[in-house]
Amino acid sequence: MIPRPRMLAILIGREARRLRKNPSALLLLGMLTAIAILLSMSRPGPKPQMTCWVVYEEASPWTELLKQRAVGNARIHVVPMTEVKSLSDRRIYPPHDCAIELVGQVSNLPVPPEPDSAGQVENLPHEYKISVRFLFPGNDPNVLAPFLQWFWPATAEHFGSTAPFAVTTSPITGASRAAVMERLKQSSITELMTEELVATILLIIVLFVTCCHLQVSFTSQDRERGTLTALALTPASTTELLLSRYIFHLALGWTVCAAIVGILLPTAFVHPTLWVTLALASIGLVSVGTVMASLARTQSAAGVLSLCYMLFGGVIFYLATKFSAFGSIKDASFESHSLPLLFLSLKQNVPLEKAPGLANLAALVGTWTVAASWIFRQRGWR
Amino acid sequence: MRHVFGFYPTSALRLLPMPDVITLDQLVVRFGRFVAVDRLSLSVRKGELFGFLGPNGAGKTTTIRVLIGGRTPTSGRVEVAGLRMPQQFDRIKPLFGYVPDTENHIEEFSGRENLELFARLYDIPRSEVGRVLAKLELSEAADLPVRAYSKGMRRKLLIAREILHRPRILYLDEPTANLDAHSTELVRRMLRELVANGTTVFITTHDMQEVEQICDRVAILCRGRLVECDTPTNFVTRHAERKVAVQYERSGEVLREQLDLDVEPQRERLAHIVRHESCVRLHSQEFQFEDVFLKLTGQAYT
Repeated sequence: MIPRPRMLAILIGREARRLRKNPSALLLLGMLTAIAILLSMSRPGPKPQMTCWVVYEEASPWTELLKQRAVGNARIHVVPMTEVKSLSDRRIYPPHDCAIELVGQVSNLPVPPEPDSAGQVENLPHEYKISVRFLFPGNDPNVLAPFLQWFWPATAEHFGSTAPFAVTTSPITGASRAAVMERLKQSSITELMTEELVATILLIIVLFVTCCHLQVSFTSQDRERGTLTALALTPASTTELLLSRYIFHLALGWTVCAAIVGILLPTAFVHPTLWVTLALASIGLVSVGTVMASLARTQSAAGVLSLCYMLFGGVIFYLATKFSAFGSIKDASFESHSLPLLFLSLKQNVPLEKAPGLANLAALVGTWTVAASWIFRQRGWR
Repeated sequence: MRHVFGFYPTSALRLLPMPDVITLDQLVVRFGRFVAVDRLSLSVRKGELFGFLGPNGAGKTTTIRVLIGGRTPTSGRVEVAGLRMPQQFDRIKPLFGYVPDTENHIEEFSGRENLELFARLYDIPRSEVGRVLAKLELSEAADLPVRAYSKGMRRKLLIAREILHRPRILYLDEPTANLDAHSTELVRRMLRELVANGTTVFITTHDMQEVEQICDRVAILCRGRLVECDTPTNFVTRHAERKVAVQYERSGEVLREQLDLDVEPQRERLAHIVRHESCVRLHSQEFQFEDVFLKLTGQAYT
């Protein structure tokens, strides 16, 4: 039977009136929005200025000249490689800093060398001895520009118009996973708690409360009281009953999420991946809530089930970081796909390789929704 | 319609054969190994007030749950208004109202809001809500939240909700439980009015006086099986036991005996007492429907 808009409007209206008469749920949603407002008010000032680490393998008159030219500039540190922590032949720099690594010995090449479009200097003459690596955080190599304005003149001053360079430029994020993890370990928690991460956590809590917890609470309460049976015996079909609940909880979740994104990260508001991920994650959570409410006989049992689901998810996520055997279980949960996608969407930086994650998320959410629909028709309304 | 001598008059029309509205044929409902309803076959006619009786756990509520689509039968055929259950459930739904044995109101809403929601779902004008509330004497409390209602008021609101859309069939599971004498009388009168207007009423109750007063036909169920189905009058007539209680005096002491006139030795004993003893009191005991019920369900258990 095709859902009738009139029936849906009546049933959604009933849910809305019911929420209005449920002060605890409204208070919780208000508190989450208030947290977002408080966070936006206590937004930290501009980030500390980027520092450039110039590290060399062997000291030479060139490195001495670089040191002399850097005197008085607190943002440039010219140091031997041994003074920088390293892991698997990779140096580990503080977050948000860039680096110029000087590896090898001096020979002759034009200064500055002329790289191709990929940033590489090719067809090097056999005299080449030195490799210069430019490393930068994020995706924009232009952040190196202020330091290059210092580096190339000082280098030309030493070598004249020729110098023996092989130049590579690459983002620091291209470093190995282990190096990144090591860098994260060295960072303090306050450095890690970026606005994007805080917003992701808030959005997940809001989605869980509005789409899963409230759905479980309202539906199981209706089941326990027998109200759901009474409604199902009216001309409203079970499809309309279920669909109205989906629409109501999704609309509620999206409204609060939009408010939080608008308050905390307004620039991410127009990112399409954010809304696709939010839509899929919320549909998945309503489906999980429907399954739990249909299985539990009482409201209290459904509440415990919902809490167990949240704790179980947390434990699986933790175990997956320790034991690879749990990785596949984690991958089977749509939260493991939606969390990173939400975070990256808020950072407005979703790489193309995350597209399969979105497809997996859609497939898992689809499976949950089909299961929820079947179980609700079979026993959810009775 | 007023009742005469405690009994409601039966419509002459209902004496004519009417088509069956509910048909149960060899209905079986199992919960694992437990058989809740065992090969139950019965039919309810259009415009009939049908009493469905049985001791606790006899399978009455399970049968009603099958009739309202709340439970799928294990086997057997169920037809409501000529439509098969559960295959044609969506077509059957608008035809009936169901008053369960427990209240299932939306607690946060007022009585009026509860009824208005259902009126909108049935596409009934709002004016009907006021009419039904008045009919069940709930107009004054209509705007109070349901959680403030007494048990009796909740029960009446439930009945009001289920008659709102003027159903062709009304299932009631113990409708007068928790009602005071006045409200009980109100509900019984309303049920008779519904029946007079052609509604089929299927009722379960433990109040035997109610059964005698308002039911056209009664089915007695025990351990999931149908014991007997007939009119209350026929039940009493067929199962009546002619008993006499006699008190007589002997040597200054008053003795009592209860004698069954259908048993020859006991009849002779009565004659002997009347002839040879000094009779103080002699009276016949009236056989009620409740006695029939106890007799039949007792037999079913033994």
